[in-house]
Amino acid sequence: MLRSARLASLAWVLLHATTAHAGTGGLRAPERLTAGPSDQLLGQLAPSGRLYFVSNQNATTQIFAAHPGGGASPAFDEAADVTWPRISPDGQRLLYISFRSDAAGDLCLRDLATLERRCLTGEGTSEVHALWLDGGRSIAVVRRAGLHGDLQLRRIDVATGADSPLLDRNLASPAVSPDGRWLAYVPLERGGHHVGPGFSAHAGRAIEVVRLDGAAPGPPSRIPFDLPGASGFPAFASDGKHLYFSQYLNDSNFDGTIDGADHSVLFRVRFAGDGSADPLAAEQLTSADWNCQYPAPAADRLIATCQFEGALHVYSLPLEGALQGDWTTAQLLDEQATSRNPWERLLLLSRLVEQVAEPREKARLLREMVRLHLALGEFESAEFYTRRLQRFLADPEAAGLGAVLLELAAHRRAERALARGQLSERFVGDARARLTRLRAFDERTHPSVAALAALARSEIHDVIGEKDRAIAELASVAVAKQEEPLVLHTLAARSIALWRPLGDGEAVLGLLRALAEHPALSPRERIDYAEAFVREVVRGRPQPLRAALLDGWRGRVGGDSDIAFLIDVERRLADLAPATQEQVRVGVFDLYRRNKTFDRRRALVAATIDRAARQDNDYLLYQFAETWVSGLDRERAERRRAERLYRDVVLERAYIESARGEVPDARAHFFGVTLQTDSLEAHIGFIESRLREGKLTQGAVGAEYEKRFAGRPDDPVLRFARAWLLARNLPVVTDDAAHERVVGEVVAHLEIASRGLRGAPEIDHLLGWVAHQRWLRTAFAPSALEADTRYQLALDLARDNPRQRAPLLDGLAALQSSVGNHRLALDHFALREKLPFIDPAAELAHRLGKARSLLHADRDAEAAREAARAVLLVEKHPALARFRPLVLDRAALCHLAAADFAGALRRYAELAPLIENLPAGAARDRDRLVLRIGRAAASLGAGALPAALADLAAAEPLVDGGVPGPTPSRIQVRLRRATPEEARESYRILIVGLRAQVFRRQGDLPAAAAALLRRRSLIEQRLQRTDLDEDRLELALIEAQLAECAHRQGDPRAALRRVEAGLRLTDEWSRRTGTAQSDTGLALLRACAELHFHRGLPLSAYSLDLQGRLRKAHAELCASRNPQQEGERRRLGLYLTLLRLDGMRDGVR
Amino acid sequence: MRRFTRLATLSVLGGLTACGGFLPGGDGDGGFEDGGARDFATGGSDSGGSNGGGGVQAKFSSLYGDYFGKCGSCHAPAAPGRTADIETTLDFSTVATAHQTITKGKAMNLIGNHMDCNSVPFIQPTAAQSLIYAVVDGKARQVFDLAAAPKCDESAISDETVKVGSQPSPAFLGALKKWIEDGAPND
Repeated sequence: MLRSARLASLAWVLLHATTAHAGTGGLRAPERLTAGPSDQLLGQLAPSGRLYFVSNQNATTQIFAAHPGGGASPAFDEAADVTWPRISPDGQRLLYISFRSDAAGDLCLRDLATLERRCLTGEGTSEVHALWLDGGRSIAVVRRAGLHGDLQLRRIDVATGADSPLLDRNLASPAVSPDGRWLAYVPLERGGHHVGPGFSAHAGRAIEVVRLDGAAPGPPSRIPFDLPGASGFPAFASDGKHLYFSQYLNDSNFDGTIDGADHSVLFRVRFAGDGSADPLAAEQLTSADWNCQYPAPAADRLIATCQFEGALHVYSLPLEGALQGDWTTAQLLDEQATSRNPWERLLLLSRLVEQVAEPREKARLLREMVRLHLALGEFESAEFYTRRLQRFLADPEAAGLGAVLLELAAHRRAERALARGQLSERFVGDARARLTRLRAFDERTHPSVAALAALARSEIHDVIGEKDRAIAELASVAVAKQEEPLVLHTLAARSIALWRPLGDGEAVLGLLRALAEHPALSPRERIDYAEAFVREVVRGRPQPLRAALLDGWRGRVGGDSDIAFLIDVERRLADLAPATQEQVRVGVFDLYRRNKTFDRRRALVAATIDRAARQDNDYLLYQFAETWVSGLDRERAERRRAERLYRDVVLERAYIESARGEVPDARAHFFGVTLQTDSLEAHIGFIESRLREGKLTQGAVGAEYEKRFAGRPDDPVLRFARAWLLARNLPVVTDDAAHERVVGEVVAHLEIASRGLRGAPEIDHLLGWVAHQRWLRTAFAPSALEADTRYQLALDLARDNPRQRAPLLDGLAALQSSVGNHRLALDHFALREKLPFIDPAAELAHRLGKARSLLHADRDAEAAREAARAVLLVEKHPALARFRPLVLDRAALCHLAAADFAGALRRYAELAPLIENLPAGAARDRDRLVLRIGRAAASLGAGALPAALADLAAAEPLVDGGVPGPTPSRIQVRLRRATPEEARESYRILIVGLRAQVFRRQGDLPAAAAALLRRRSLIEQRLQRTDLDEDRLELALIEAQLAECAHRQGDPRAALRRVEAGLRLTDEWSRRTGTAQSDTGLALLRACAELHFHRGLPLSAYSLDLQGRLRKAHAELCASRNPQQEGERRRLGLYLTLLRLDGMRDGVR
Repeated sequence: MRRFTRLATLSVLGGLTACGGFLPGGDGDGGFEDGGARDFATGGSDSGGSNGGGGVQAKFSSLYGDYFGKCGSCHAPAAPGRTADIETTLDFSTVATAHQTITKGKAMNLIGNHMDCNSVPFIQPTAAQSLIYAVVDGKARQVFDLAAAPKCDESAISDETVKVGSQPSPAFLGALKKWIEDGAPND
């Protein structure tokens, strides 16, 4: 159920790791500036505030410019890949690297007003990076001369093009300070003598700076940041006081190297006027899981490219990054303790470690950083902070712990390298050497060091297959004697990793119980282990057994321990069902009331929310989400998460009530969310519920919004509400001019709304829907394109909201289907089916739409199955009864196309009485007509020839009597120029054709020929009017069928005349369409040859050159080598051989 | 992931045209998520202003105008936010109805975790014992203790400010406290 999916995510907010970018806690999430499924990167903010960035959404990489009112478009058309945009200081020009004329890259400029293009370099050199110098009078460019030449930094005068060396050094990503005095860059070393740095280079681990304001650049100064990994992409703040850079901290892609392919974190350091920076004072600005780089500091914000929401996107952050600069240590500790995301915690810890002065606390924080990095597999960072811990404490315990941790990190890195192909023999040898070193840390060392060493040895023994020794080492660690939390956490992980695969649940439970009560751990940590204990008790156990297991343990643990408490919670929740929800609530609330500590209440609420979400119990969800948020101090970090949970629960409740038909309460809850946030989703829900109640008109609802936002005419929510209320009328606006007017008004409102509600998918969704309506109304193709673009943008923005994704995928499928891109539509249908259907009518529309697209994609059997599902749906839901005739008709057509004639006849049999029960009139007559034609075709296929003839005989008068054809859609009218009369003409052609087939099957060849001639006459009339090439092929096919009749009547010469007439038509078709061969043409040619070879017609009777035609067709098939035409090709070859043999025989005679 | 190091053409997932690739909006400071709490002036015929708080006085009309008026979005007959399970005594439609129901009424129709506060008067001689104060002030809520209703405590009292969507200012809370302890006059 969709509901389950959404409710389950609510529990996820409270219980599990949330990503900081989702707006949790007080971290400032990066603000997304771009959208769409393609990559957008290298954002640059011009002095005007306009954003420029690189995007590959049009296949080539182009530079896009954002529009003030929203949206973006290519800044210019280079007709080639471009990259590295840099705005001049005066904002008038843009430099970039172009690959239009030179595959190695050229430095080019564009005037942003006139778009005039000028390139300052040409072939022979390869330009890589560039930046403005001297206030825009010159440009520094990183250039490579030759394929394997060294890199150089050159200065190019913009006015004259004069080119001079600036720095003769392999480097990348240069940046210059705003005052022009300093140049920062990443130094590179060649990877080999013969291979240039363009192909193989090692980046230096530090950034270098040189002075530029002398006669010549000064000597470089290294700034080795006190961070693990490698640095890149330096960028100066606009005031020159900070240097920003990307830091690749760890080998996040596990390829054995730390480089630009790994996740990046943004940092900054203070940059002094003398070119120095304190390498120890690097501030972490972003979370490692955001993967941000290419920092581009502007005056009031930091622009960066990040990758954590699908594709690469450009984001905006405060210049000081995600952490608020004025946070106290207490606030940082609170945030860190509350956060569920390990990278977010590391970001907070990085700041805490700098702020905290008390040595023991600092050491604790460092150990926590080491533990997290190890758990995340970030071994470089783990080693780095281990060494820092050793230096900081400089005591034997720290030294010992550090040494063991370094061995552990090295072991795990080596284990990972096995997956990259390192030989296990070497790994085992290194492991044994590591074990020897670790044995030095025995009982004579500090107890925590000895314990950690034993755990490390246990892990190594385990990995190399020495289970007994692994167990022995683990058993040697007495949990009760440990005082170091790091050791305890490592013990927990080791025990679970070792005991669980061996099936020793008791050992795991024993350890978890001990940790849940261990005095060396914090209350939060103890209760975390208590939760783990309870989960372990019931893990993998069937539901009926769980209660007994928990009761058994409750008796064993006794007292008021955390485990006892959580078992009590679990037991009370076990029987949750709609009928028992109040009883469960009372029981759980009683526990809540009696346990007033933050950690216990948090654990209780987490368990309750989780269970309620899984059971779709909105009552319990709401009660405890509200109770939880009400009990939290506003100053606590947890309060923000609780408020978000509460809002999500209220919104979810609104949807559930709406689905149940409890419209007033749904309306009220949607409204409640609109009070708390700018959620457009909630506003939409409120408006629709309001209207559904039936007490207010649309105008009155609009008036409510006008009153609510009185004095704020451009409030984005008000503008959106106006747009929504206008747009929902579009399908019923009959006048084209009025329709266009309304579209314009809606778009105008949404443009204003979008300025204040960045990132709201509802705006793009509505814009897409309006464009979609416009396309359906006007058949104006750019509207379809606009609709697709907007839908895709909204889909990208709504990636985490299945409720928003579902209608977007519906819209995309319907749009592509209406355009005729049925295969693309089927992709969207497939994605849509992964989400649940709440509304049976929506599911029915989906099934029918998908069946139609399958039919058009020549997947007839699948279309029939899909149509069958639609029939079942209608039978299951009485509310859909009025669609039954339509569904049966479509299903019959699909069965027909799939050659399932019996199935089609069954559906027609169900459909017939429904049509007869319709009120008399033109509509019923039309339905009768369609039924009879379809049933005749099915009867023909099933061999029930008299029945087919009877239906055709009944159908023809209906057409001739003036039954209206189907009302074509406006698209059909605009694109295919079809009218009702033309539709009737098509019916006549169909009827006559079917009749001809019946006569053929009956063997009444004269009657068949007569019908075919009539059909030919009708199509010829149509061809004269429409000049459609398809009709030429149709006429050729008729000639082939007439030839068959003549042949069966024993008149091969007449057959030959028909075949030749058919070939003339296919020749005309080929000439007009530029297509060498058609299946009809090949069939006619085959018939032509067979009349000679099997019926003995002499070549002299032919008006065409049979051999020549065969030769030409054979050559064309040989050239195309289509596997599906292989049989035909061989046959033609055989005919040519026979003709040649005939010729030789005639020659001999 | 080599996306960052590969600046050449990458595979495109859809045929997007111009107008894509950038979120609407120019210079707003709106957040990426739901933008945080809004400060609406909603509800009641005397729609309150924002919770500026600076000029709020210890008079009911001032309290209503500053913050209580917003409660009328839900706590009023036919209010857009009124649900079937809402407390039924309070009516913030007008200053008069709000004063009447607060000073004379008791909480009714509370369900679930809050039901232990049914029949508790909204106003008592002190702010610390007044339910109307506890629902807007977290610190008061934490220590709420009424002998006549011992189970109407910090566990059972909801924080109504979450639903309003904005916090009352310290000045409002101070003024409310004084107004209660001045006898909750109709002023």
